[in-house]
Amino acid sequence: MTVAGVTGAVLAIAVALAWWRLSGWWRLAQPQGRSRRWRVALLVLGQPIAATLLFLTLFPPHVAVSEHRTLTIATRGTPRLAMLSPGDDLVALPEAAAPVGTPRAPDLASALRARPGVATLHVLGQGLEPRDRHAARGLAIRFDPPPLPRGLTALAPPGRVAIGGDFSVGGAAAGVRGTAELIDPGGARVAATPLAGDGRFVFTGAARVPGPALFRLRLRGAGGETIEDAAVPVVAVVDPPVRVLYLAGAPGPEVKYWRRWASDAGLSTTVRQAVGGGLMLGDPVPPLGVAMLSRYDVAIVDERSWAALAPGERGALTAAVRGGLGLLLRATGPLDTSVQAGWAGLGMPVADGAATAPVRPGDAREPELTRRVLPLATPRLVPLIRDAGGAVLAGWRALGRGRVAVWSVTDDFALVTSGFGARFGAQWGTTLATLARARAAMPAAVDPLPQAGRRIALCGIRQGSVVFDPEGQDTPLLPDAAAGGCAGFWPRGAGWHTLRQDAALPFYVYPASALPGIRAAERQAATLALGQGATGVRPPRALSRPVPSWPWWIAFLVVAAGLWWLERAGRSAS
Amino acid sequence: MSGDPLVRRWTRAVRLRGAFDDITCGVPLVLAGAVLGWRLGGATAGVAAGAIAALVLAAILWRRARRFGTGWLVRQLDATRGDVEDSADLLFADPAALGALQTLQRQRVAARLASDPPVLRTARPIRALAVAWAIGAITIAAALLWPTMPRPVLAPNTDGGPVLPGVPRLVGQRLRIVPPAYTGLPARDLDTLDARAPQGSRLIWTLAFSPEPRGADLLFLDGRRLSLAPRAQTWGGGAVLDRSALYRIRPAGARQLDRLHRLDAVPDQPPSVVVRAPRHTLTIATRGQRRWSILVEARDDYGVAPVATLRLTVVSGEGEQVTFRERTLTLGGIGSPRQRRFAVSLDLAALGFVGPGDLVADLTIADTRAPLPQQVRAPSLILRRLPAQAEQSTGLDGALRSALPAYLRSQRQVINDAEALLRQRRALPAADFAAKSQAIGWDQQALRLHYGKFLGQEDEGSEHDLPTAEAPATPVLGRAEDVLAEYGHTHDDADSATLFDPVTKARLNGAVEQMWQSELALNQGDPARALPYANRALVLIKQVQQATRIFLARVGTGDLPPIDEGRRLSGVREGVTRDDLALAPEASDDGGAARIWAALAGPPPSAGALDAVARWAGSGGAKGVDPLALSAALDAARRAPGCGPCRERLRALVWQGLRRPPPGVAGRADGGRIGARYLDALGGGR
Repeated sequence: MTVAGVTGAVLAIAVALAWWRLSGWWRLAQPQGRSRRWRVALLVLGQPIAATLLFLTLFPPHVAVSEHRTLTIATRGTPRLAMLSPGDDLVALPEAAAPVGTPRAPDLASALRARPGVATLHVLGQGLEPRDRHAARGLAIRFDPPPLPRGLTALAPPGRVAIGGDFSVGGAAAGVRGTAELIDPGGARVAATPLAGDGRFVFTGAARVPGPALFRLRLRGAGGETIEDAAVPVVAVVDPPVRVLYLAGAPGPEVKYWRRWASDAGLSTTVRQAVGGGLMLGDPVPPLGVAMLSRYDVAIVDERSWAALAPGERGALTAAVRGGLGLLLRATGPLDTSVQAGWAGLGMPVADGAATAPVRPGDAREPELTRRVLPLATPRLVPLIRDAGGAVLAGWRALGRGRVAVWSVTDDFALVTSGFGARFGAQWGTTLATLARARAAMPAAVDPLPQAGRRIALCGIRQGSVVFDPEGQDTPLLPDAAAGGCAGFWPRGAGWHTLRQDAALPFYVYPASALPGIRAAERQAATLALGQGATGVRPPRALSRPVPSWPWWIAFLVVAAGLWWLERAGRSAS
Repeated sequence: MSGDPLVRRWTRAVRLRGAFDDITCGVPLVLAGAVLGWRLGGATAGVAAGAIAALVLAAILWRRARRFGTGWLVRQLDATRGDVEDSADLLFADPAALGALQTLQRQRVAARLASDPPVLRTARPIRALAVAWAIGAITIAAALLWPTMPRPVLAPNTDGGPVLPGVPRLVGQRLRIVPPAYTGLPARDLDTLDARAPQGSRLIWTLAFSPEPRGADLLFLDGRRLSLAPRAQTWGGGAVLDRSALYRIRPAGARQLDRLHRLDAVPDQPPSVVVRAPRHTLTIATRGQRRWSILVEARDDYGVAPVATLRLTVVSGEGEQVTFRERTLTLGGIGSPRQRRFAVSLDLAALGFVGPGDLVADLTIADTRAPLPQQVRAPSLILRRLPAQAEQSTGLDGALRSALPAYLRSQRQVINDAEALLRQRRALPAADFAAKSQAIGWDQQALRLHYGKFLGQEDEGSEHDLPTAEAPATPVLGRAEDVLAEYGHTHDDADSATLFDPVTKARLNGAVEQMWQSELALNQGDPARALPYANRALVLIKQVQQATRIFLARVGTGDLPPIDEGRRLSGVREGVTRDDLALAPEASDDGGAARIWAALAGPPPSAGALDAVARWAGSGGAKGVDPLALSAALDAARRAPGCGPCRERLRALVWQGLRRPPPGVAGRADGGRIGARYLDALGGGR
């Protein structure tokens, strides 16, 4: 039984007792001394009224309230002299440096709970922290994003990098009219680009050693002064060797230097070169079949070896691609109509390829290469390699679970013979990494740009996985089956952490104060997204508020005083 | 001073006056002494010097006051008072010893003096005063105005090590660099202990420690040690910077090692020489050319020596009649010391270069380095005048080649000379005959050695100059053409020289053998006995010259596997492996830098990892890495194993030595079941 119920019962008993006492007085009193009937009737009626009024004083009734209030929230980065219209209900969150006297709330949810009926949030400053975004769901959000702070506003660290392979780092900077530089762990400047326009940049670097290495991204102002210095973690991995089947239509320097690179890069290769008249050089290759091709990750076929394949072999190749094999079609000469038809059957946009065009080298010292003119710049293909002039040299598309690509450069080997072997290898490494059969067992995934003090999600982990921080302290992880096997982790300090399950996966945690611009941009984007997704109407929820109890209290006093006067008056009269 | 009251009374004024004059003379000298003392030794020394000077002055005063005695008074009275009548000495004589007349005279004089007491005067010592005051003033002025020796102001040490009570610590530092005089660079003072200076500079350290240590050393990382000597509140030492080094300062009693400091020795570069004229090393003389101009420009980082040596070799004659003449000229350069131009216009006729032949000019230029200048030889410049018949076919390279003079006497020439000598035998004295025979023997020896070289024999006669700047500047003939002999010396085993086929080799061997015999006979002064050998050698050489084929031995064919006859032409490939076709793995030349980089990661590296870095640095694997910086970083990591930044610095240097391995291939994830379902749902259609 609730407090109100107990109170009501006590009041009802009191009324009953009052009535019983009144009736007793009435019966015991002398007929001439009896009060007037109307007075007694008033007293009898007055008891429940007084009791009801007292009950309502103690437990005033709730009334539904209308949702039309706007709450102004000061978040991180709110200027101290924020423009406020009179009557604004301003609450400062802990990150905001709000004017003195502003009421503070530990988080947005607490502020909303204390102020029912809020339908619109007016967000000042950079935006809502991850902690507050859930509470703001469903509210209309008015947010006028301020300009981003000067510095780095976006950073895309490289993904999986092979040893020796190229990696790309992208990013954007706001308010900087200078240069962006990529610095390697030895302190040397790997690449630099002037910042202009939207401030976006992409760098290419090379991973020299297996394991983690910390590159740095440095933004410099027009005067050469350092504006921001952000770490770029690069983790070079050693994957099981990619198995490649290379069917060359003829021996040549391309095959020779490709074999040299593949051997140095640790690939498992099967190379067959036709020398005409049915004679083959290199490794023996049985007739192509789906089962045989399932032992390979990539097949490289040029137009001559394609033409020499039996129709069944071509079908097996297509079926293998649909099953996950990567297929690279090399155009080393003009394509005859049957080859064109076959490649078009794989979804490739092809032409006869009779014409050649020079490949514009990116470096003036590089040799000028030749490519077959094929319509590769089409939306149907994802560009794989471009030259310095932007012409697509190779492109790929998905076919079933596998991928098919066309490669139009005919004399790539000249890169090696003129001293650009690393560039040759990097091109082929990128190409084969894109095309090769996807692997089922991949290491765990870590949220991008982890930062000390922020929760990150580690996905694809198993029971018993442990994270070691830079000091060697271990933290066991609890994968949550409901969250797709992901686990939450709160890094306490910055530095290289290691997730250890089968193999060690290093990941870098930024210091808590790093990347201010990126975090500001992230807050802005999240807050804007919340505002766009909201309808302005909260999900139906009974919102009521107790009416003030003082009118009931006064009414009770009046009634009680009246009853008291009636009783006194009655006695004095009698 | 006399005790006589009369004397005292009469000389009182004079004594006072003399004392006053003496004091007036002495005071400036005393003051000068005091100021000098203060200037040289500080306030205490000044007070002491003043006091000593005052004492000396007082002694002098006392001594000089004694001069006004009885004798002086008598002389003064006699000289100045006529009424004393030269009898003043009677006044001070013993009355008992005087005669009557003397006594009377004494009374008269005494009465006169009593009635008119003498007023005595001394001359004021104006010159002495002037001299004393002048000396005093000059001394004081000099002491005050003498330029103070600039005492080196030490820069504070900013390394900021821990301050431990009672442990000496470096508090002040100065490094003075005195470059070698020939560089012309001024000496400079550095506030840091790291320096970059020309090689051979003298380095002078001035260091201050607090508290004062018992001794202090500079410890060089390569094991050298330089003990510092104490001076007034500082410690100093000097050394000559002959090579780059790392060092640290260690006062006696220091508990921990100071950080390393770095000295970079910048070596003096040898002059760089550019020939501006002629434009090619080999110039063909034009018809009627009389002069030949040479213009060479030399640059040096500090200075090119003002004179250069030009050696001219005139090679005249052709075929087998070639003679050499050498001359040496000294050229003066024009222009600034750092960039001088040496120009000369040679008069060909004056040099005796008239007929066909070569004029070879070798210019040797030195810089001003001390003690040994660095010499650089400009490329040999050759002016060639072609023989008449070759000139007719100008433009044909082959024709030019055929006319190249041989720089050796030929075998036929040896025979001709020997025969000529035999004809002169009767006319010549025996000694001359033997000497001429011996001269022909030397020619024969030179020829034998020349042919012996083709057979892989040691080149015992000539000495190869190293083609370096240090080598003595001697002209090398035909340098521009004679590349094979200079660099491509066929140093084969004498028995297996492979340049010739066996028959030719045998003939050459025979020729050389005959030359030996010929040379032996000629050296013994017997040309007649030498002639048959010489003739046989000539025949053999002619045979060799007429040989047309050169024998090249085949290599690498001895390792082929034997042919399997049972499988031959059968088409059976089973069991055929491609082992022999496998590519050799690429060898990385970074000396295992990747392993070292990995070993240095993470928690404090083990001593083994640091030793590996040291081995890597020492073995030459660390190409492209500053060796001094690597040593310093290694040392810092060794000293403070827990120092994270030190380790990062070391790792950064190791990274610089890493080579990029051949780019590999990274795998990609398949997206799991969801990914597969997505791709299957797409269907892979067009």
